[in-house]
Amino acid sequence: MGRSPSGPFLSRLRRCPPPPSAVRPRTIEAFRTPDERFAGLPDYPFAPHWLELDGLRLHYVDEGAGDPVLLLHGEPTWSFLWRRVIPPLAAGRRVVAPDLVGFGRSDKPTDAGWYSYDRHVATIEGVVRELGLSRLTVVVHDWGGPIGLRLAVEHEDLVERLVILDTGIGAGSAPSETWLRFRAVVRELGGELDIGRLVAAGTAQGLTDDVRAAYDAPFPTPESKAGALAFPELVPTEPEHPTAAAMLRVRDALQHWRKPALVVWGAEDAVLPPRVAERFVELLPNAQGPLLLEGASHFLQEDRPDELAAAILEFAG
Amino acid sequence: MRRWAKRIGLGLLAFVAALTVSAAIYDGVSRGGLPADTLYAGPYVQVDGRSLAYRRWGDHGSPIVLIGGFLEASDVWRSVGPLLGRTHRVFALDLPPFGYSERKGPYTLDAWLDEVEGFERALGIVRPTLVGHSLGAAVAVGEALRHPHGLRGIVLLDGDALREGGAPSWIGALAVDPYFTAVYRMLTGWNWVFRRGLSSAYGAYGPKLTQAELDRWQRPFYVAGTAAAFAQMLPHGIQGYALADLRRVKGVPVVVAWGEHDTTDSVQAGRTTAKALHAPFVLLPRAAHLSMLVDPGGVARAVERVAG
Repeated sequence: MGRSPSGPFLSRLRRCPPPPSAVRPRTIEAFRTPDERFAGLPDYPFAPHWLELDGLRLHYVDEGAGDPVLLLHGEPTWSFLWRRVIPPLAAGRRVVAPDLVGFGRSDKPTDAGWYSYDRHVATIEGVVRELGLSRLTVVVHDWGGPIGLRLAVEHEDLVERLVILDTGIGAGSAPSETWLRFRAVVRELGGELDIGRLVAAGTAQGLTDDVRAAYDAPFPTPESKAGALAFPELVPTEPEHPTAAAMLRVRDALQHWRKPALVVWGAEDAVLPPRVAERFVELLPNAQGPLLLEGASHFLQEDRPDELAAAILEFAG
Repeated sequence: MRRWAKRIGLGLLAFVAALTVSAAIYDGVSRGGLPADTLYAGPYVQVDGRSLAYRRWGDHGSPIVLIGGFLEASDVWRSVGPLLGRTHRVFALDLPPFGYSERKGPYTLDAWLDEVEGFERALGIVRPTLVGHSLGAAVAVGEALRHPHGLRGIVLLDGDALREGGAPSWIGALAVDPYFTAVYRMLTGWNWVFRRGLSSAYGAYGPKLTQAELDRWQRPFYVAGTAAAFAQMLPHGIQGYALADLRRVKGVPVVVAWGEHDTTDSVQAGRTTAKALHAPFVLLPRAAHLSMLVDPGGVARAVERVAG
């Protein structure tokens, strides 16, 4: 992985709207991945769209027209993850796939302390608000789960249905032994973390070199990975964890979320095993599934994109 | 006018007579009616006066009973059996009149359930995971309804466990000898018929349809009494349950697994059944109807979701 000097790409951006003159403007340091890193990616022809939120530039894919589908990626991916799901969904629907702050083509605050559950949720709320999205089908994967599920329970009027993929929500304990090993690797490697390799390890079919490179693309330097390094620390591994209370609230609210939901899972996911999928089906009153895709691991969008798209289309009607 | 009618009548009579004689001769000289043990060496077990053929793999771990579907001998499990046998005691039963079990009716769902229970008693199988493929799925559901506490769980593979209309009752009356046997033997001796059926049931990724592979499927049809058994079974159609019955399955872990290219029983039918049973639905890549021979690893993993 090339390690280009970060200086020229480090932009100073204001996070908040201009504060009263008495208060000194607060700025945050954020890394902006150069555009040329995203040139010629495989199966990713989508034009970039941008939003300015709290002084950070946010990137999203916006394809097709009709009732909107919001695709929320998680750790450590970006909208590229959905590239083979977007075209079939965009025939007849508007598909919006944002890159979370710290990921993909969105700005990446370099201070790991910037990242929190609340901030990620606020960003996605900002996308929904700025684009005026309603009647949403929200598709969540990995960390997109806690974010998108909270959007669903806190803005029930905007969300029509949920598609839940290989994710988890606030149990106050580690998701699995495999996940603990993953966190240990992230902590040990820090900025040297090999993102493409991490994604490849979460697939059953493996990744080609160009696809792996596309997952590396957003992160050319150690400090660009702050968001990816922060996510494992935000997972509530014990009941006293700072994120635990908020996530448990979401989980409790989901027990009363009566709109339709579909649970689809990689049958070979070792990080979040299929029994987690079964718990989601038990948790939500009107959940279907789980549909377990054999030949798919955690990143089922890589292993079985066609079957995933077909399942979403059938569910969303 | 009447003369013509008479001639046509006589002609027809002569034709029927010739057909009958040639069918009878064909029946006499064609292959059929062989004792099962000349075609399959065993093991066999005696259950309620019937000799049941089976296969087994593995010598430790919780038991698994595999039940094939329509026309399936227990050798359809030849790839999955050894995989599960590493950590389980695995038994695959030939449901009569398929495979090499004795052709002794009735061939009804209730009789099959009795046979499965007798088979388990005879071999000392307690609280098994019951896996039913295709028609066998109805047997698995039947056991779950009869003895929910006698099962560790059930796995439905490429079978929705639902009954399908079946043939009208008079169709059995058409199965008259010597014609029925002649037609039966012609069809079952005809490679083309098997090649066509198997290429659809295997899909694009199945075993190669060599003569040896076709033989595997043709051989059970030579077991004595098979033609008569089919004639007896025909009016029952595809036996199974109503969707409402499936909703009565309680307290039994269920997994439904399906070949994604299955055209014999649609993936949609599988989803509907999984929904009625509140069961996870496992979609197997590359596989069509005979998923256990195309994706044995995927099938074994689906079974182990229940069997441990």
